[in-house]
Amino acid sequence: MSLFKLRGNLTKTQNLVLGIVGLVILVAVWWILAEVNAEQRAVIDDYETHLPSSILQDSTVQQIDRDSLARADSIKLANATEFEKVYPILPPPNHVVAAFPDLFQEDRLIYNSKLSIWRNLQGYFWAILISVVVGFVIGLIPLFRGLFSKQVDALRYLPLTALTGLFIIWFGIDDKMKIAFLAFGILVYMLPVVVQRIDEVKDVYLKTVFTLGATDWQTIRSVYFPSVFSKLMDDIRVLTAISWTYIIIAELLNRQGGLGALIYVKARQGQLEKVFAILIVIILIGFLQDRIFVYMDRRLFPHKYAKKRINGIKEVEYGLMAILMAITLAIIVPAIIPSTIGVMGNLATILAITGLVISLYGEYRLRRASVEAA
Amino acid sequence: MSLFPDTENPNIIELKQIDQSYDGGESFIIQGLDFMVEDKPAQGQFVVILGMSGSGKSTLLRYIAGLQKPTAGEVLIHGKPIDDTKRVGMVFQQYSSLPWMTVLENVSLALKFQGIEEKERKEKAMEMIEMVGLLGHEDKFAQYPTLSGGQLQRVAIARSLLANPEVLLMDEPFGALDINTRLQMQDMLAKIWLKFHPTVIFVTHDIAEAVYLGDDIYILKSQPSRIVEHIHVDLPFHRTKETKRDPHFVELVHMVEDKMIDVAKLG
Repeated sequence: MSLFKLRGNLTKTQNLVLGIVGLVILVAVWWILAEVNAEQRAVIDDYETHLPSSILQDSTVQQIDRDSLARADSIKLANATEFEKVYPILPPPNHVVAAFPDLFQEDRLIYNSKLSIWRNLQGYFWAILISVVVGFVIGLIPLFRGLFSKQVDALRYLPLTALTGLFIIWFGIDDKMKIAFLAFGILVYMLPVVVQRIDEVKDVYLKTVFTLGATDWQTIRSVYFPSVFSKLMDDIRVLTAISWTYIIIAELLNRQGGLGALIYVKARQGQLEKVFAILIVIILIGFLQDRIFVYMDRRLFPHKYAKKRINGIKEVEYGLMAILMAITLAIIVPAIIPSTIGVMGNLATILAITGLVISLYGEYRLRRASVEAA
Repeated sequence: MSLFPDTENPNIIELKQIDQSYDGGESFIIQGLDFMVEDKPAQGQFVVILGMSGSGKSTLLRYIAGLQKPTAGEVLIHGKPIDDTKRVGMVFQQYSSLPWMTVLENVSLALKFQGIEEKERKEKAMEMIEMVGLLGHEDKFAQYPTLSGGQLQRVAIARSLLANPEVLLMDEPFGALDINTRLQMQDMLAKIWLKFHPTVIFVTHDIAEAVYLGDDIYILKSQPSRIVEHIHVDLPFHRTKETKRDPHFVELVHMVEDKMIDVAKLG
């Protein structure tokens, strides 16, 4: 009965089987709920009252006419021989799956996803950049700690979703506003965390590098950076979920594409299966993002996972750095000099591909090293 | 009578008239403390500071390392006030290795700070790693439990000696280790000392350890701290396991024990 022992361990097979069964149960419950809420609706070629609402409301159309039309409709309904099943509340899984081809073609799912992901990335980038720089200044320099640390903690209580109006006033109604909103949303959580992570740096490490003759800058590079960043990686991962909530809110304002805008439109049109399909896409993107962060964490901070430094890890690290640099280039330079957006885009692409190749080579060496070790 | 033998040699470490107060001068934890270690360049020496908890033994080491400044008094190394140009390595009781770096990177850290290039760094660090018996572990991340407690302290010793082979400060370095590892570490330290002849200032409250490793033992009384006893350990220069079976060793341990009890009565 180890399955019910508190905090008991599952074997690998148990884990896999239970994972699959769990998924099946969830889908089954979903399906059952959909079927329970399904309705039979008569199939009628042509409702008499199916007139444009403008005509129905037109006072020149007599009330008597409308009544007679409605009567005719109810006779049709009563005599109906064909029925179809509709799902007005919850679309079943197969309908959701079936909605995808249409989403790809007509609703430009790929394009909208790219738009949202790129906004998310930019928002993330600015939030991390600002919170790390400001966080280190506040965390390390007593003057600024005294000045601002309390205020930074208080930022967390801002009701962000109520601030959308302000962001429109400050940043206009375009992409800039959406990105700024997202960046701010992440920033208010990240900034206090950065300060806290700096506080958590172990005293004995600082004393050690001091006795070894480190300058202030060498202390920052050899102790503060690795110690703080290796922990921040986990914080950034946790914030992924929040970031998607905020990007959807931002995209609802002045709908200019993106998954948030799409989901809103589809809900208004009553195409519930598409709403569900987009939700699944967002969950998948978030999940993928999380996996990417985990991967980066494993490669950039190998000491958290591995016992030794293995050949190849350096190359992966350099490759990942190049990709991060590429993202930085693509975001930061055009933000300062808007006319460079095209050039920087190309440059960043080249850099990112180079980084990818280098890190793939590193991965190859890592694989080989682990095969040799085994 | 001075506790410190008069010699012609200049002192490598001098603490003069040290006062320490944490409440703005109302009460003093340390008052009028003098502590001098003479320089024996080619020979080195092993100085042990014994004292009860709270007697300020670790504080003395922190002064010498430059980690803390006394309220009043002078701290001199080679006759000069401590400054930022050359620091003194210290081994702490807690594991102090940077866990995101490998053993090799940890040991060569001081050389990296000095701007020495990687090849030379690695060469010197590997020599030191071999010396402390960590060969084959150099690519491991310096963290528990990948490395054992004893191995981590070996990393710290190698790192400090590479940073400054003249002086080594050790603040109860074996306090957290199990008894077997502690004995091994003591032997290794004795061996390393014979090789480099550094001036070691070693803080402990283990009397047998103090007698086994030390040339000179100073006993600190507390409230306020002052050095009240100096015991010269006249055991052979080269210490081995046999030393501990020497009747004179046992005699010395008992003598130090008695003095500790006397000192405890003082304050």
